Amino acid sequence: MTVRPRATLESYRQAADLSGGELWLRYFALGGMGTAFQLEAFLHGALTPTPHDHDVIAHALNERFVELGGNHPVPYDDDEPHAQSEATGHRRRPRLPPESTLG
Amino acid sequence: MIAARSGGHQDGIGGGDSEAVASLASDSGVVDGALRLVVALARAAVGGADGVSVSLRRHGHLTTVAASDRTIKEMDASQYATGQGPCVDASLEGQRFYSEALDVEQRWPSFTPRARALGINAILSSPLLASERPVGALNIYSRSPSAFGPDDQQLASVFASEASVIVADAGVDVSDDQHALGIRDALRTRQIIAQAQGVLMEREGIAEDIAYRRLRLFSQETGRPLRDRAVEVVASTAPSAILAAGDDGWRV
Repeated sequence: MTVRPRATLESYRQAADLSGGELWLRYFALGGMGTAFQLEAFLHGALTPTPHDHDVIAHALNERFVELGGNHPVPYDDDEPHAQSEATGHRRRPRLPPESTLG
Repeated sequence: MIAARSGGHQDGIGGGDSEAVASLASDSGVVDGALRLVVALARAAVGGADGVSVSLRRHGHLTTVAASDRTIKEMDASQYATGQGPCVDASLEGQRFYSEALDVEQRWPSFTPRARALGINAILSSPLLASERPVGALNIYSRSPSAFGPDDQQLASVFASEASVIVADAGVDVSDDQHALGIRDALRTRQIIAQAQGVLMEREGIAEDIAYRRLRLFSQETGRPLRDRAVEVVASTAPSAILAAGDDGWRV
């Protein structure tokens, strides 16, 4: 499991320029099971999401970063460096540091 | 995780759901309108749901502000009249109350016979909170005993939480109508992703979480939304299913 510093997801939310409610809608749409209050606790590190929930939040944020012209800066729980894709057989895109998120 | 349910039971306990939902408003406020939409969405999404309502405490008394049909509104009223039932307790104590089988329910002796007389066998009430204080409940009724599993209970809490946000923050950032539309779109996306997971699970013999991961990895690698991939997966199997999933179809 990836070791994540507290409040990392919240810093990504702020960088993505999404309100808590906007992120919850995206998270819910992608299959997230937490309430808006639980999501807020996940973002601030007060609660630890399941690996799946963490990845749903990460993907909701990453789709937003793509909309803004960026990449997928938020790491996933199951990320392995240089892992080969099981979906397409291609190598994943290299991840950019957060400061490069918005291109 | 769970996949979103493709739909609750098709027939409301009292019938005529859509029109009834529109006609049961206690007032014409946009907050009530948004809550009525939450009721309709919860009934469609929570497996086993035959009827749904939202109760709010107004002027010191519980009142039903949205209900999927008239029988459900009467069920709420029976709880208010007897001072018993999961809705009353959830609204007072701020905790979820679930009666799995009313035929053996002991907690509400005055209310339970009224519910059973109308064919109701299970009730799940999730509290609505504003500023961490209980202000009402989202109530889900079923004809079937043991109708709501853990995933249904969690999904009910999600809808109750969203109703709480509507109540607590009405009109702060966006109009309730816009907020309700956002929920509707989110639910549609959730449903198409669940359908795509099902297709992959069936086609490739993989588990639900692996199917989700496949969809997510494709999105991650191509930069395309996960939803778009889900639409493609579903369309590859049964194009007609796309239009069947929503009243105006899925946007690709």
